[in-house]
Amino acid sequence: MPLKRLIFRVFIAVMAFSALEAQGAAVAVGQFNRYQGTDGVLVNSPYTGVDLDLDERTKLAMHYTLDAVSAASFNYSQGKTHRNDPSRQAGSCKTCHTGVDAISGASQMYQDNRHDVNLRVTRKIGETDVRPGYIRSEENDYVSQTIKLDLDQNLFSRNSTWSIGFRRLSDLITPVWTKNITHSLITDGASLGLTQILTRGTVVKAGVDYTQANGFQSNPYAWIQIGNQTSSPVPERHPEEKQRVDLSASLKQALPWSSALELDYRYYQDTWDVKAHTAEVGLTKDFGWLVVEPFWRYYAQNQAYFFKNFYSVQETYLSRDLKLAEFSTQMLSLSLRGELGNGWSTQFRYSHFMRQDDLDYRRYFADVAVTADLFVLGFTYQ
Amino acid sequence: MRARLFILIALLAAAGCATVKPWEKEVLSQPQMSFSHDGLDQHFIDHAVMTIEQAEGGAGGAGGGCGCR
Repeated sequence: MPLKRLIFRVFIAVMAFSALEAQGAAVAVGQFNRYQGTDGVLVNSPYTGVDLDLDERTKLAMHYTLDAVSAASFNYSQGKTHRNDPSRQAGSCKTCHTGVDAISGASQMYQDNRHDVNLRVTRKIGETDVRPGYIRSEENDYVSQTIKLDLDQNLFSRNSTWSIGFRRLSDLITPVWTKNITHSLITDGASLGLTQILTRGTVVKAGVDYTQANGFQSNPYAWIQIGNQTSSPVPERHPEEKQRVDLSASLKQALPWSSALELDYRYYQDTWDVKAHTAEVGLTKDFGWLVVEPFWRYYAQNQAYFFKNFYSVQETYLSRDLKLAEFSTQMLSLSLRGELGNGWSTQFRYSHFMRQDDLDYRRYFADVAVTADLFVLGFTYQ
Repeated sequence: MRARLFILIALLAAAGCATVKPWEKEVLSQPQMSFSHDGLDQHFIDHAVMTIEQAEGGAGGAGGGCGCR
């Protein structure tokens, strides 16, 4: 039972925190996050975590996130391709879709919970931080496990910090409609980064990240209509291999009146021919009791080589995944952070996310490109 | 791509050229000087954006079930 499991995990975290809090060696975080999109997706995401100082050189972080997802996108009987066709009304899914659970296909709302447990140890050895970590993310049809190792090395009177990291993700995908079939995906990654203090008020960061994924990377619930043949759609097929690299650079510049400017840029490229640019600008002002940060983000990508809005014939790879189309997004955020006293602090953030594209949405659930509102409200005790 | 790599390597090569003494780091230690991507709230934002954009984070543990699509 997810609720019992959640209560148990929170109880364990609170007990562990209480035991060590007496020694003044712990940080506890509680946060509530919410995503609400115009495409019918609603995610409520509570998050809790404790960071414990086990000794002078060792820190243990335990974090837990629940994503309670509801989406209208499974309501095919009310979708544009179905609602005007009497032969495709609720409960008739099996007529066209082999192995389809007619009840799920006809239900008004799809719901799923994702549980994410993140464990990380930080061990300080001289000027080096060694950080092994483990992450497990679990849904009713998707289990993802990550093992990772990060090393941070301080140099030049701590004016430079080099970081190197390695990770392996092992995913198992078991679609709810075909529980006897399990797909797997292995993803290996490595990253290298540098944080460099340039002056008394200037810090820069740069990094490169490489990832290689092998295995099932399609959406098992996505079906493609070929030409005008509406009665026998075929499953989405993505390539099983993908290599990707991204380069990033950031600048933080102190400004007068306890304020600072942040500039970020990121370039992404993968072997599915997607290239993407991300630019971000943030301004931070510290009022003493409150830190205010307005933030603007712009993202643009071109489409994957096999993406099409409509297919007239079967092809080796088939995808109408909106994530693989050509589009751009913008996000505006306002973040407020404040001290409440007695060791408590709080944070609130509101973000408005907008996607722009020129796609034909006739065969998608949504009518236009998605916009979304994101809320974060958190409390920290230290 | 090569030009971007060159810029990155040049930036990395600059490491250690400037030395700021510990007692000169007062401004750097103030709250407004933290990089926004280091904040706890950023994990949720990154995860949400990851489900929409192809250039997702790559840090692992996110899962990829249908709910996220």
